[in-house]
Amino acid sequence: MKHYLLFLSFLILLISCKSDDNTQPQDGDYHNGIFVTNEGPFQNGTGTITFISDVGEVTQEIFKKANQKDLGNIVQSMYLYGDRAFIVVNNSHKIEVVNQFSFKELAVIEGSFINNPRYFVAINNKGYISNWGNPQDPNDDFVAVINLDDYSLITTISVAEGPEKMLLKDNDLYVALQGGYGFNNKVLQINTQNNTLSQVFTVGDVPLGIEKDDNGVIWILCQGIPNYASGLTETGGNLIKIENNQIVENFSFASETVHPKNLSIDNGNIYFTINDAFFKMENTALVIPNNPISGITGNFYTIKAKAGKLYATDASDYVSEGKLKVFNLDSASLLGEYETGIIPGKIIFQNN
Amino acid sequence: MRVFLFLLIISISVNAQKDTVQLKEVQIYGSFSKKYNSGFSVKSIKDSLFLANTGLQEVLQKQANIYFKEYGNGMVSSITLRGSGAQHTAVYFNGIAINSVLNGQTDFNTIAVNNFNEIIVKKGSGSTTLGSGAIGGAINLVDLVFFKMEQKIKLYTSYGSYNTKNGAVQFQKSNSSWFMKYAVNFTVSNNDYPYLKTNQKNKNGAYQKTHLKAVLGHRFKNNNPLEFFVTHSNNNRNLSGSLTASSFSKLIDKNTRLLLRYQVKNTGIKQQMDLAYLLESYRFYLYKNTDDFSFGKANTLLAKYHLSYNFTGKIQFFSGLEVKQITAKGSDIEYHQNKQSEFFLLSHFRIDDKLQFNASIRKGIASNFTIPFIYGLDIAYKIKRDFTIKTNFSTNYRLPTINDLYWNPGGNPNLKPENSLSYEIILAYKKSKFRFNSSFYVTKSKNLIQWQPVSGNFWQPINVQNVISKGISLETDYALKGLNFSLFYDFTESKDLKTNKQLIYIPYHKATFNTDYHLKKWSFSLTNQYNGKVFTTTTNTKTVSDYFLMHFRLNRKVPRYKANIGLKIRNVLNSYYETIAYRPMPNRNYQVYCTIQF
Repeated sequence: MKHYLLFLSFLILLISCKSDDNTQPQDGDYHNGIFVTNEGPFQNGTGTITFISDVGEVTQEIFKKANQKDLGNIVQSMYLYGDRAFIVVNNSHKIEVVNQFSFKELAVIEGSFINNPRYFVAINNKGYISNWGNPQDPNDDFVAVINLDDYSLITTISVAEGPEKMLLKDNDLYVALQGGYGFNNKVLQINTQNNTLSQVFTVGDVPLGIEKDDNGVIWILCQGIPNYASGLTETGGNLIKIENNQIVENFSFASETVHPKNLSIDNGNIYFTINDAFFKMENTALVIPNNPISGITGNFYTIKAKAGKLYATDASDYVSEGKLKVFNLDSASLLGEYETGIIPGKIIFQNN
Repeated sequence: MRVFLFLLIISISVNAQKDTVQLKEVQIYGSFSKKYNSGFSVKSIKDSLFLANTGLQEVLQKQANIYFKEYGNGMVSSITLRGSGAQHTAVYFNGIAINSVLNGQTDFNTIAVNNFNEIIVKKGSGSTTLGSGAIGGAINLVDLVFFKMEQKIKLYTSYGSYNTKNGAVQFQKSNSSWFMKYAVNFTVSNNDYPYLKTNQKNKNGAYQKTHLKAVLGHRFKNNNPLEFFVTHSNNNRNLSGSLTASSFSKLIDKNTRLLLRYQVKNTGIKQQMDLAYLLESYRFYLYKNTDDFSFGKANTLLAKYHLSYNFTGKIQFFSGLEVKQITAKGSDIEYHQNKQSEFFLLSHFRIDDKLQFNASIRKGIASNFTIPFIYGLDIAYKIKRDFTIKTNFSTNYRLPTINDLYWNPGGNPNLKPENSLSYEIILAYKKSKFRFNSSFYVTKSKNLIQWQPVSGNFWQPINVQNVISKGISLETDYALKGLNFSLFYDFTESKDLKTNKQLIYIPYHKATFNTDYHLKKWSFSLTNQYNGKVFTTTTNTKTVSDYFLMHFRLNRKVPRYKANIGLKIRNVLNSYYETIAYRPMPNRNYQVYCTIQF
């Protein structure tokens, strides 16, 4: 009922907006909350974005509400930059650019340089987009560099198979080559001032998480090669620490059958999951912890730790609405649950 | 292909006799016979009803109110009967099960219907005589073999919207001891229909389909027929995208089916020996212009023996033994070979003119799982001359498919067969030109195989879902001089017992209303279909809207040339509709056709 009222009031708002533009709030409805991007059903539907305000009010399908159209198929990720949000829509091969407060569409970035896009980051008014190209072709993967004034292509940087998550530190871009449909084990360091490759780190197999802590140390979580990879030997996960552009630590997980995923860092602690278990490791620790945190379990699709809280999504059966769960990290207790769209894939915090 | 044409030409030149003999109704023998299905609804659709049709799906929608879902026009199409899944309707080619051993389904857009003679539709569960998967129902595609002096050549050609062209040739010749039929069917279409209400169109939907068939028969001096059936189909389709995702992919599938059948008919005893070889393969290209593809292929070798024994005038036995070997491999399946043997026995009792019933059992063994023992009972009782009450009760199973067992990653070799239990009551009324049939059924299914995300990284099929399906099926037709009406309505409720929600893609309501009018050389046909909304999320929060469709056909006979010319208009009202979410179906479209028989 609450949703209906919200939706109804939104409709009224829309109608009134049409008749009188002056009543439209200048800065939009979405402030100080959490965006959850929902991939949506594969092929036969659209991804959506859920907004959860700081007082816990949930608004579904905020892109559609603002623009009266579907966002696109497989909403992979989203990145906030200035007033804008860049939404990467994988299977529609586009980036939707919206005002992050109103979610009104500003532009659509499309073209041959957006081909199976995965992630977006921005620095100095340049956008970097990791692209798989044809996922069956290991040799056509690239990072596109976009001018964020007019969304024109500056250059493309050819990379090895499966560029996935990216991290910015100072003026450098770190690109994890997770492997796409295959399996890779590299992280690239790219200088964003001249868009050239400055270093290649060989990390563990399948680097799926890359984050930096408050000290500027880069942590890379590698999943390892799964047992079903045909023609390859199973390998266990690794956690890699990069300081001053050097690999300073390489923690191996217990065995080749242990495949961690979901990396997040908060307040000097590294968090990750293994199957349904949730782990915490201090960034000064010398070994990988053996025991998970009891009280926080679940098949989390993604996690984000922030200010003593864990935000984790549950994709349920992948064909119906998922959930965002919020836990207190100290007490390991569940603080709240919020409904999301279908396959909640990413959590993005908004701080203004 | 060349061999086909060669044989065709030779046969034509050898004998130019053009007599046609009116066919006597040929009794379908075995698992689909009315006798061994006394307590079921079994419907026969004769080829006179689908001469101008090219798709099996179109025929079944019109003549049996069956719900299909299609990934866009001409794309992969699957059936749903009685609230069950696509794997729960078993499809047979002259009595041989042809659902893919890889995914357990039949793609109804890969079967050319107009070179068959008859389609038999059995709604309801019947695994005891039919085997795995006959839970929602079963469909048998029949080629009739008969030994009469006859020769005919049929040509069919059509042209329609989206540059759709279809051509078919059928040559059939028989005498008192030989029978042969050759058929070629070819369809090609750009299939680039506009998506109504948008400025998009079906960009990647072009397809090309080729079907070849030969049926040969010989009747020995002792009256026993030897029959040989072979078909080959090659479907090359670009796969349509959706409203939000364009597609660049392509699917090529090929099916070859060979069946050798020998029947021995003595007084009171009929025996049938079948030897079949089925070959299926697909290649999926994610990007159609590249050489990268994933594939799967499987072959099935099958030997089958059926015995029908007239014990007394009132008691008959019908039993069968089937031995099957399935071999499969693919880019995501390692080489595997499975063997299974199954046996069934049915006893038919005819108490008097009013009451008859069947009791049946089936048991099998397999190399990789336990096949459950199942049984069935069906009864027909004629209350009055025009009014019959039927009922059936059965247990049934569906065996796991190769993909379920061995797909890498995820395939689960520990899967068990799915089980179900069905109960149905049928009331049938028939008086001269009026017929009314109603059915009430309940099917409880256990251990349904579902692919689920397992902790961490991949999906795995598990025997996890329990479902209860209940429904009402109504069918009535009425003929008045040249006018025929038929009306169908199905109510289907199919719920997951854990969530108590309707299963996705099962409409509560589906109805069809047909009007056919014949006036001298002219005939008009109007088909109205209503498809209720379906849910697309397991929480029943999202739907594909309901829709109403109207199709029209005008046909004129040209007796001088034994020809028909006609016009078909599909989706007369230009309705926007989807059968799968975000995959629009065609707007109003036209087709002109011509058939000639020599």
